[in-house]
Amino acid sequence: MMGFASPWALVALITLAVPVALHWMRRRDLPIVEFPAVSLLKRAQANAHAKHRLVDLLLLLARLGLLASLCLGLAEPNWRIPIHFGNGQERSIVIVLDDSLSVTGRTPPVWPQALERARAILASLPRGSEAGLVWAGYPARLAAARSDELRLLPPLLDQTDTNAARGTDLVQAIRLAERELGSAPHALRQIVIISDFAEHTLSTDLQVASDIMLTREALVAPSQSQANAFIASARATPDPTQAAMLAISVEIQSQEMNGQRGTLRASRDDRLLFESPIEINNNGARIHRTIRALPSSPFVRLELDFEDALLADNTRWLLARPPSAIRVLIVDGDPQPVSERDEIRYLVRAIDLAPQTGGALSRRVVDPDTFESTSLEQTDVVILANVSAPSEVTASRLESFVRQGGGVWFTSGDQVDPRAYRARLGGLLPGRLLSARSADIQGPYPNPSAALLDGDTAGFTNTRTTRRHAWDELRANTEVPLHFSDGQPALLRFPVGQGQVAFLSTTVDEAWSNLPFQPGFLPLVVRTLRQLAPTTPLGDDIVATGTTLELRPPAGSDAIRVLGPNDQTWRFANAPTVPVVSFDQTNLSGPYRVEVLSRQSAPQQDDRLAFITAPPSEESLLNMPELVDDEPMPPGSPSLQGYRNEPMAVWAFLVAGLFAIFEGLLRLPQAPDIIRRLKWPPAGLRSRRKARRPVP
Amino acid sequence: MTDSPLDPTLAERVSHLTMKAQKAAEGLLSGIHRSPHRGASVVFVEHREYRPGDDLRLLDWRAYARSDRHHIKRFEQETHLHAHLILDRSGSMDFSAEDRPTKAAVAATLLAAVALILRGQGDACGYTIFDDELRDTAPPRMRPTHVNALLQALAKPPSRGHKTSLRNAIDHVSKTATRRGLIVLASDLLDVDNDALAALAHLTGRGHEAIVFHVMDTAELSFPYSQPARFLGLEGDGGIESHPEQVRDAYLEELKAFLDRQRNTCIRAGARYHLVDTGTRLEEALAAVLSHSQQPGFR
Repeated sequence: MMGFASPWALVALITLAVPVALHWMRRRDLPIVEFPAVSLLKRAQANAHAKHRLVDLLLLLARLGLLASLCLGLAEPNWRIPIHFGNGQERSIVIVLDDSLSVTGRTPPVWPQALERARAILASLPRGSEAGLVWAGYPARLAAARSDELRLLPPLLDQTDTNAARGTDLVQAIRLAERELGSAPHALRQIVIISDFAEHTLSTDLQVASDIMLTREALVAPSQSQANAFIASARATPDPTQAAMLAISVEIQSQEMNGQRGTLRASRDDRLLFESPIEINNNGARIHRTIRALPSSPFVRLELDFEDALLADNTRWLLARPPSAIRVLIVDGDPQPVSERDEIRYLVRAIDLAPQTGGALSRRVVDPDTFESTSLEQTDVVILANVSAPSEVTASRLESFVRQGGGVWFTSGDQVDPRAYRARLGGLLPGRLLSARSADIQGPYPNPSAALLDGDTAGFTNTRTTRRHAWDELRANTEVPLHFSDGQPALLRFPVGQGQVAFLSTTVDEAWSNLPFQPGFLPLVVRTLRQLAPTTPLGDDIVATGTTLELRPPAGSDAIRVLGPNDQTWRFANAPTVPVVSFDQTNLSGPYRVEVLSRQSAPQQDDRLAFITAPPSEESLLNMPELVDDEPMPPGSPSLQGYRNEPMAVWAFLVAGLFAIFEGLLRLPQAPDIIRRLKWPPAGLRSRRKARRPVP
Repeated sequence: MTDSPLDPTLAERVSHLTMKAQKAAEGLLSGIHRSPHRGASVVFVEHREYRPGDDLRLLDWRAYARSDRHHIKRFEQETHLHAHLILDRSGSMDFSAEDRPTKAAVAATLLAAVALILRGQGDACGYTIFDDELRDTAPPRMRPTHVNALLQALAKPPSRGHKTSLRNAIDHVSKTATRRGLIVLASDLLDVDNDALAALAHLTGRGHEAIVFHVMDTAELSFPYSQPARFLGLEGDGGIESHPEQVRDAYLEELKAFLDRQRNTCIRAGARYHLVDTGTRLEEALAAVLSHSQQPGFR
């Protein structure tokens, strides 16, 4: 619908009568000229008249069009466009669009409605307005900075990933929106939130600056059914009563589904593990089952068969694996044919007796020669028990291993040559290793200030040492968890790169001390190994979708490859300068596997690095609180408040310009010839005229 | 312009012009034009043998004395020219522009000049004046009163609204011009039938000499108009509104074709054609015609 800002200018349309009148009057007021050769003139006129008549007609039309366009332009025409948002006032606006799971996965779907509403808002903005776009799914993201190029935003709405299962981060999204509007030029600044405004969105707590208008547009009516059942949590723990068995505990929560019955299915590698009937009582249910642990197949899929408002949360993955074990490689520096005489026997026993809580320990033993060719990929901690200085190549490999996060524990003995150690392993020593000396001294026992044994000396009361290595020039960041009675360090630990090195100044067998016989020996070994082991970046907890993880490729590997739920893959090279990989592709809910890549071996899946993502369980709570807001918007109803006037005057003047150019071209002397080249008059008419002309 | 179509000054000038007929004409009076008939004359041409019945006064005794045979003399016989002057006095001839004389006046002047020249040479003139009908006609005569009547007839102005019927005029002359002579036509040749001029061929085929003065005004030849106007014909043929700027080129093309057509028709008919612009001096037109008549063979 067209309107005019200055309709009085339309009076000027009366001037259109002027060229018509002039044209008509000209015909009436022509002077009369006597001319005998009228017959010749008539014939000439007949030929020229057709094209000139057309030119005259076009001239008249061009002049009429020029005048009409000018009059219209002066009348300031505008096209009234009904708008579905706002009142046509220019504004700076940021649309906060909730792309969390509770919106994108809702049944019946509301996400298309959300996108359509966002498009309608953008289309309703008058020229000169600015708009930005923020995604409110976790983590909140700025999709488009505030800009007056409004046409650039709608394509972004088509790029959303509806497979993502994000939680909601509306609070941070509002902060991002506020920041975008901070320097907005318009007096009217507005944030529009398009969301389901479920309880988990914390929408009632949203606060914005007082000069920013906050508008909420709910996608779901409060009266709509929010009945939903979901797997709130699932855990697998080792069954203490059965080896290699895991106890599964599944918690189901619901709202508005009391009394409903359904089934929980568990499958692994597409094979059904169990089906368990469920009955919702008090908005919940619990399932406990036992399954066998399969290290090669740690992922278990759990499914509920309820038809509810959010089907995506009816499926959850479970990481069913034994707790991560620390892999210890023991290098026996003085292997004995009889194991009872082996100096590492106490060490091995302590590791084997280590409690499983806090992480198991797995060990393997090699001799020094074998160690030279042993790969350290599947190793977390290396214990060099009374080992002579390794070759330079091995020493270099060992240092690299530590710097990439591995742990190394040296223990003293008669095979340890301080000079050789200083020469080849100087980078891994906490100080200047001196020769071993006999001593009859108490200790080692815990340093009260050290956290290794919490200062508990009870297990080392009767420890005595007869021979030990001394130290000089300790590094500044060296920790001394154990010391002798004369203050000399007994156990030293200091960081090297991403890893740590420990050095026991005496033997782990009874050769130089009675330490292995002390009650505190076992916890000393276990705790030291756990401290030396690389930090396990992931536990068995579920990772919230959208979280950025730090993946630490195993020491000795060349790269890792992450395999996502939808068969996507990402590869990250292992670099000494970048030992930790930041992985943020966790939008999808499901299992993520990690393969370790090495030039020396085939790719191997490392279950210790595998993880599962899932949206936070509160995302499944779809209750809508009462919106305490002065601008409540019922869902689906366009806030039609009027029209937006799209000015059209520039187009009218542009058309006038075109008419002026056309009129000028028609007045050129060549215009009739051009018309003639356009074969006017038509060929049939020309031939008839030629026939009338007498043949000379 | 006075009642006499010929300004006395011009008449005097014209009276000094001579004109010879391209072909010998049969006449009753002795004149300066060659006659196809060989009779008594002062100019000896040849001998022939005497035949019984010949005029004995023509016997050449000196030739007999030389040859002892009887011969008579043959002489060139010069007779008076009979000229027929045809004047177009249709409505279109009554046109002038920019203080120029009308086409009718110019045509009449041309014919009057011819008449005076012929009178000076002792030739006879007749006239035929026409528009859509024969308005006035007189056979060729030598008497002075006849010439005056001719001049007066030529002096009459054209009648507006009357069209052109050249064919009638030429047919009339064709019937009345029993003796070979000179036919002089002065007309603008506008709106004449295609075969009207072609009828001159009948006359030239019988030995007449024909001259056509195609009289056009400068304005007709150049179409100098620039302002839109309603152009009105002078023979009751209506008018037309026109933008001269738009039609000039086309009109000049039509005019050229018209002039070429008339010229070619005259030439094919054996007539001499001369385009007379009313803006040019009449002596030029007459001189052009007379210079052509001074070709070898003419006296």
